[in-house]
Amino acid sequence: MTGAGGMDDLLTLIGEAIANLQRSIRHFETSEAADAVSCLASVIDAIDRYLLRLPDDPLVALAHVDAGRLRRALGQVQDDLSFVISEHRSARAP
Amino acid sequence: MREAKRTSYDGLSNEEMIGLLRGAYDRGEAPDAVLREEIVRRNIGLVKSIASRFLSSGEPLDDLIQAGYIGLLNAAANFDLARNTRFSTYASHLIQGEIRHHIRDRHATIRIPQWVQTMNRRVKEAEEAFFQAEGRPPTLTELASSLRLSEEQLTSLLRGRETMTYVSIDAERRGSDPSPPPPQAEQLAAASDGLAFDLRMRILVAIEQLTEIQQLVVTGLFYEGKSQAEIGAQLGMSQRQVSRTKDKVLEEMRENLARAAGN
Repeated sequence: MTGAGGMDDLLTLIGEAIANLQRSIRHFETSEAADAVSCLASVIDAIDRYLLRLPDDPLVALAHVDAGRLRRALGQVQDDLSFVISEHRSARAP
Repeated sequence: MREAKRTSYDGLSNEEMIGLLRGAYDRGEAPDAVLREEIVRRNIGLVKSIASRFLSSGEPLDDLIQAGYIGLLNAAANFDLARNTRFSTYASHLIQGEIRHHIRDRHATIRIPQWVQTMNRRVKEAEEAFFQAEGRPPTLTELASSLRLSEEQLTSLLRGRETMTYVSIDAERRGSDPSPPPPQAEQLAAASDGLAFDLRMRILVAIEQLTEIQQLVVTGLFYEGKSQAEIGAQLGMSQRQVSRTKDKVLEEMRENLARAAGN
């Protein structure tokens, strides 16, 4: 994920994450659960990678976004998606 | 059981005692402590009876009664004698309100999932908007339609809302609350797949949360609180690099919007 300025930026992360989440819903609806879970996992990974680079993201400073609040919000998204994956797996476990 | 102490107010009705209490307030005098005690004593049964209906919340009865007393005293202080309402009717509403408030405060530490909170907010907003427009609460079908949910999905949502948010006090609430919860929830048929709905809602809320961040960033980009030179200094970039970054981002956003409009 390479955005503005040749580095990972917040808007690129969000754009790709939303696209992946929408894809995951479509996969769930068409019973392609493995693909759906893969989309969710990719969003969690992308957020992880972004959080490492967050201090260097010029967009956060340009947009005057509170980095702590941003970390919490993205962490909450990760928590929700992890919950979905884990619930889905436990529901399918024999 | 301790025998009730006789007071000079024994022959008076609730409403007459409230009249004396209000008279003292109106004159700017401190009300007679015995009078206040007598009002509380007379209505202890009412407070205990209402408090006992909330035992399913898991809160100790004594705590519920204490909260109820606050409601009773508020009722005594605010009862409008000019209205043709019995004091006990008015006091019941305030006692229940204080007890509910107490329970919600105590249960605020329970972590309510983000998706439930978000959907609760949407349901409440949809109900209020409908009431404003139509002057009556929406039916389940109308509420589901305004939320773009199926009736089955809304049923699941209301069930989750009930168990997670109201900590089992809603059943009592429906019976006597002047502001009842969403209509007909208790009459609804069972939902087919609560888990799938829960998971779907969590993903949708994650999308919503990301969209909110996106809007925050875009709005922030147009708000010049710091100069580009200051931001460059903070990030170890030149002012020119900061400017190029911003231009690039705005250009990408413009292209994205154009693509979205073309789809």
